[in-house]
Amino acid sequence: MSLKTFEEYNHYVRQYADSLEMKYLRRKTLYISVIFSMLTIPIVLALYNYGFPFGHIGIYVLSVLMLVFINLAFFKYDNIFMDIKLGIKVTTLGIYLLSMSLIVDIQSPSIFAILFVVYALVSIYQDRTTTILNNILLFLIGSVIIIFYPNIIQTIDIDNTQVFYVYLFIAIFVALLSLAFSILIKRKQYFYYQIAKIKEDEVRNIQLLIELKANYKRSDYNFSQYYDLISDFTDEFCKRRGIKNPFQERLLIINRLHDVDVDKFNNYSSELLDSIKRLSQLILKENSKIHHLILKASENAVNNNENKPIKLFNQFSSFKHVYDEKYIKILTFAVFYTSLKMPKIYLDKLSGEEILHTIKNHDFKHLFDADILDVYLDNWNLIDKMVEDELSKLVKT
Amino acid sequence: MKTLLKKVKNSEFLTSGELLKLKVSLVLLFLFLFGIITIPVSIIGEFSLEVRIFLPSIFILLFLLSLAFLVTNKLRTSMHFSIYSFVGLTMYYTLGSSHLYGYLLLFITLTIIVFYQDIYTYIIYGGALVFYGVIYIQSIGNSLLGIEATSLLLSNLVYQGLLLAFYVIFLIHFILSESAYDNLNEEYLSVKKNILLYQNKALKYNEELNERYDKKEIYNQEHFKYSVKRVSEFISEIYEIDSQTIDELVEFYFFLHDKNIDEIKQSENLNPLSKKYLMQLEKYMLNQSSEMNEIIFSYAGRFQDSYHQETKIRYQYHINTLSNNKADQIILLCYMYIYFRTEPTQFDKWGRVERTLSHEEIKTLFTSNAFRDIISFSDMTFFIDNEELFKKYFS
Repeated sequence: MSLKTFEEYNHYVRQYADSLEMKYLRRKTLYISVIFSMLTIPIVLALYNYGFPFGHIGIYVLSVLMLVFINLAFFKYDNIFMDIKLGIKVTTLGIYLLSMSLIVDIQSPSIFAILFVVYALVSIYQDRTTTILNNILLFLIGSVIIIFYPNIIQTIDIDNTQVFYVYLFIAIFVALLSLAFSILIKRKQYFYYQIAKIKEDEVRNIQLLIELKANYKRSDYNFSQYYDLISDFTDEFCKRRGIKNPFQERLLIINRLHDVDVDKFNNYSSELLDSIKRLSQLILKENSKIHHLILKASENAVNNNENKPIKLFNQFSSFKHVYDEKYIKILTFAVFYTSLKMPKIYLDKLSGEEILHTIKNHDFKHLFDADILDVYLDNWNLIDKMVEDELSKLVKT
Repeated sequence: MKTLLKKVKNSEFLTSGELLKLKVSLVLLFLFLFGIITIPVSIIGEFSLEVRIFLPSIFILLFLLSLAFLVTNKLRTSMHFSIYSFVGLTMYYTLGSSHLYGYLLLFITLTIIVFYQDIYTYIIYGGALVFYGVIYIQSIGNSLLGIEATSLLLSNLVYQGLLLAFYVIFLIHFILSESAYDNLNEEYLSVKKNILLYQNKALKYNEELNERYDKKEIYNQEHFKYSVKRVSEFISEIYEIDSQTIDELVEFYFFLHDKNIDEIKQSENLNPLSKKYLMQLEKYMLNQSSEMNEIIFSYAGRFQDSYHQETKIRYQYHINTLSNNKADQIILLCYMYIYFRTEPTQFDKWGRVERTLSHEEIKTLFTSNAFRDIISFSDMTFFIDNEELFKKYFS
């Protein structure tokens, strides 16, 4: 049994999870641009009231516009600005530098908290490296101001403890929010992974269903006859409409391509190759996307669930639900493991090494209770032998 | 501490209850450290005697209550009390001092509330705290003036505005996260529902094929049962837990495969322990759509060779994703119709997947709103306009 398909599965899941993250990250660049622009309005008013000249205020406005432009460019033109994470980091750095110059310009303790507001704004990205950068910049710029511009945070009631406490507060603020966002980001990425996983699981489940169905039918799917039927249908359709038949040529090519490997046309011109590839998408085969699409569509039929109503027990299936007793967790591990050792119509019997590899190196390890998993990893050989011994009796009988 | 850090590291795999417990533990730890470090402030701060005695006592009481609720697993209550403790601490400093850190503590407390990632808690407690903060600045603003400041009004407005902005930005953050999570969750559950439907059919095919080849289902094979029992006993021995209970549980588990679980659940003669195990085992049954089968099928599915398509459109099932050309889309629509009319895709009255869809059923399907995720409105119109032709050539 090949584990290549396992690797392909992981590849698709990782790619889709990454693309989901990028999609939401791109969307967040838009939100941040809007919030950032809105925040600029009261800041400009404050600067005006502090008596700053228009030229000075203009520099701030231009800087904001530039950052917003960078964000929007990454949002809108993803084909040119592909490395969105770079754009996010540039924006983060820019926002912090702007806020630092505001603090230095205004020279008032009241504006110091803008660093916290900037932190909140940047945290919307919920990106791991940006969060680290966010923490570093807050701490660094906070320290620069406290050390090099101590008069900024001095109020009329000057107190010696003040600097220490401001430092302490920044440290607690950063520590708490780092923890909060570390948990949030981990869970968000896990959720993206779960979405990607269930989408790929759907593809694989449909494929399993297709194969089981073919087994059950005792015959292959006869899709090539569909082309003749559609040819007759389109003939009459075009005659009735009095139009030239655009389907015949397509159907002929699709029919000819049905049992041909499209890769063999690789030396054709790119234009022709593109047309062949496009039409090859329309070939209805056992393992084709269209077949998957049709089977998925059939689940929308109204009477579909008449036979067995579906029960959804938990959002994420696993063998380690907190409300399950340890006994249940042990039993379910034993059932799962032994079932993999049994030859089934849809899955051959697996060796102990194959099971170990797939559990240890793939996400399956997260499905089990950590203690039970440890027992298995420490004793996999023994457990496997135990099951093999029992099942070999089955073969003998 | 090590366990806490380990839990933070693996927080993505925690259930929501476990996660809340972790968060409350961390907040209480912070609260404890924060209390210890900042209590000296009370010595040099300008507190009245009542404030010096009353508020720290309240703080200690709230802290102990939070801890007690945490230990007794009343997690939501513990969360609320940990917030009250921090609010108590904030009030202690803001009432007794006129320093900048009183103001900054408002941000820290908001941060604690943000940490719980609960939108309603944030709106209520966070909103109340910001309201308090605005009044606080209004009343003691003159002592928060910078040494070079000229306008009290402007200084107050900046203090209040930044506090409000912080609150609003995190509120927006929550709303965005919640809405993204809701959309993804909806998508997740809809795919999961589909998978369970495929599983129902796959199980039926499997059952029919086993019958055809005169094979018993694995849960009816004695060697399978005995093997499960031995592995369970082995793991129980390592844990040094009662192997008698695990033996009985294995027996009960396989016994349930011959019974109607819903009927047993209703039975009044069932003892509470059996009922408890029954409720826990139901989702792991091998003879029905279950979490056990979902995981086994997910595992088996990974050995399946699937079609290859770029990830961007791999999981999109609208016929437009296969071709933008109208003629191509009509061909795809015809495939779908022929398949539905000729291939059994539905359960018949005997519970076998032997039934094909009738023309009327296909029409209902094509015209349903849910089907706009598969075919476009113009595809549907094409079908309606040429319904007779579809019937004539493909039935």
